[in-house]
Amino acid sequence: MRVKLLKDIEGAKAGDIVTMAHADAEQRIARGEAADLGEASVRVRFLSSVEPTRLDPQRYEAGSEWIVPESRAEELLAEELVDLVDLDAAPASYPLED
Amino acid sequence: MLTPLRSKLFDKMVSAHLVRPKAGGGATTLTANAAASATLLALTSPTGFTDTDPVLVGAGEDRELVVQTGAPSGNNINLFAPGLKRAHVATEAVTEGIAFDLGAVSATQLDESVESSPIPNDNLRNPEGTIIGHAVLGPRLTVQGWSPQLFALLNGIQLANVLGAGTQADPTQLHCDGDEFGVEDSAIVLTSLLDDGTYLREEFDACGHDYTGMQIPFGQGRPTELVTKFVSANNKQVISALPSYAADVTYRAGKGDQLESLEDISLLEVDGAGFNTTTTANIAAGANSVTVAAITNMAAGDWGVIEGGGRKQVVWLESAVTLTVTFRTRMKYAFPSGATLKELKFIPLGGLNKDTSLFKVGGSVRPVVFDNQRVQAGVRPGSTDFMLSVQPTSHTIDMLRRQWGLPAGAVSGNTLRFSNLIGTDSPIGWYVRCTTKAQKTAIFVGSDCDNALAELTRALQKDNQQGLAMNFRCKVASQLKY
Repeated sequence: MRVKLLKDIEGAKAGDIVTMAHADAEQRIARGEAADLGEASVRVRFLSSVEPTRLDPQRYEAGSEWIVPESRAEELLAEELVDLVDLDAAPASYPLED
Repeated sequence: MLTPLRSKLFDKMVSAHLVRPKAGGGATTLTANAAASATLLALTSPTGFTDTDPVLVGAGEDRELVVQTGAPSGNNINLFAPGLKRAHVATEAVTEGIAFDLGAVSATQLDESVESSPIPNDNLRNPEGTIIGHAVLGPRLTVQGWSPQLFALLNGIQLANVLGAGTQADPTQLHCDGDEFGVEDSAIVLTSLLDDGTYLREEFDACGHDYTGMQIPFGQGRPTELVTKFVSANNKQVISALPSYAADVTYRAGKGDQLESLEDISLLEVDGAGFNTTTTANIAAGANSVTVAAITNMAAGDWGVIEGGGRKQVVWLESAVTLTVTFRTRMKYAFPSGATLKELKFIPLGGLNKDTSLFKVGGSVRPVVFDNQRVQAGVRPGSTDFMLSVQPTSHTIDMLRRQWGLPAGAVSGNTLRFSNLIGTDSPIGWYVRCTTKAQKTAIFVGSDCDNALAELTRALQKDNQQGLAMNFRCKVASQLKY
């Protein structure tokens, strides 16, 4: 899990972006020692329209482009609802160390 | 695990933050649609956006708070998890925010509720079940302390309305006629510490301000508490982590901001022996000087009333030199050349009943509820109502006359006659001066007053200290601090 350290820990300094085990990361986040960076986002183009649901009340029109979380993009790709869009406006580009 | 854990008991509130757009900060639009949970925003311009900025995405009731991580990459900015709460489309506004630490808060209450009605069933004794209706999300905050800026932040007033340099010659000052209230929605972020040293953060987006319970108590030894109810227009999010932005502590309430000592409460009326002139130039809103026809009888520290163009404001003089008058108070409105400027005298109200001296903001706010949305869409500001409420205990003919707004002519010798003239002679204004615990001077002034005569109850009992309840409604309420 990717986190941004808010305090120094062994071998890493506050401000560093590091990857650590999920349980450890959650503990550190809850104690204010790290901040959750979550997953990266990617840009996709919808091949067909997707109707709103209670969980996601947004309607996605066929042909529209959206920035979505990577895991959501994978689901949509698996269902062949979207194409990945390869634009310069690429996903997260801060200096990841993982 | 659902077993109760003592380690997760609430320990204490760590912070209460109010987030608004930053004046002069980054302001741009989205160039691409972004779905809920996205952690990347594509912007038209990333100018002004920096690492750990609070960022407000969307506008009005759809505005939500996220936090930037890292410097912009090209025109993109990355967000801390969990990213966006809801989807936003290209061209929606993106604004750099600023989180104000509200400092000492007490009695924080989550007056949240969800409508639920039983589903009746004649075949069963119990209802068939429950149907869920609209939900109200938002906290009621009690902030311990007062400053014009805090008052503005808590009432949805833009900070641009707070003027002045914080000196006696130019006090920090806020002049309100009601139109300022509820103009600026805010995000509220409450962070709590649990017993095991972990945190719980509750974020309320696009909160409307229910200012109708706001009071400033003036009595000795009464905590200065500013109470506002916030109603989120769209969302609440709970995260087990500290906020990842840094809060601005400039207006943080502290013990020094308590109004510790009430020095003076007076009514203001025109002094027939004082200065009486007219302006010879227009004076703009926010300005503090004007040329006049004469400066006879004017002295630094005098109070007066400027009246013209259908408006009236109590003013405080700093100097009068060669027909130029400089005021310590700024103008709420523009006044035209030819406006009258008359001196005011103070009618002190002595022996005030305990815990009865208050400045109260009343009025109304209207809940916004839509059939196709579960969460109440905030509140709309309705009316405001500014009132000074006091209870002087001097049962004199003159005080009774002023309580009922009767003219001086209603007094004949030692007799006060009530008549159709009730409420026809109100003071020009009212004046309250306090000293804060940090030894700052706090002045509250009401301009253009009327007696509010509803419910003037007075118990004639020998064992109480019943005062003469007086309520003065004013058109412009001013707050000064230096």
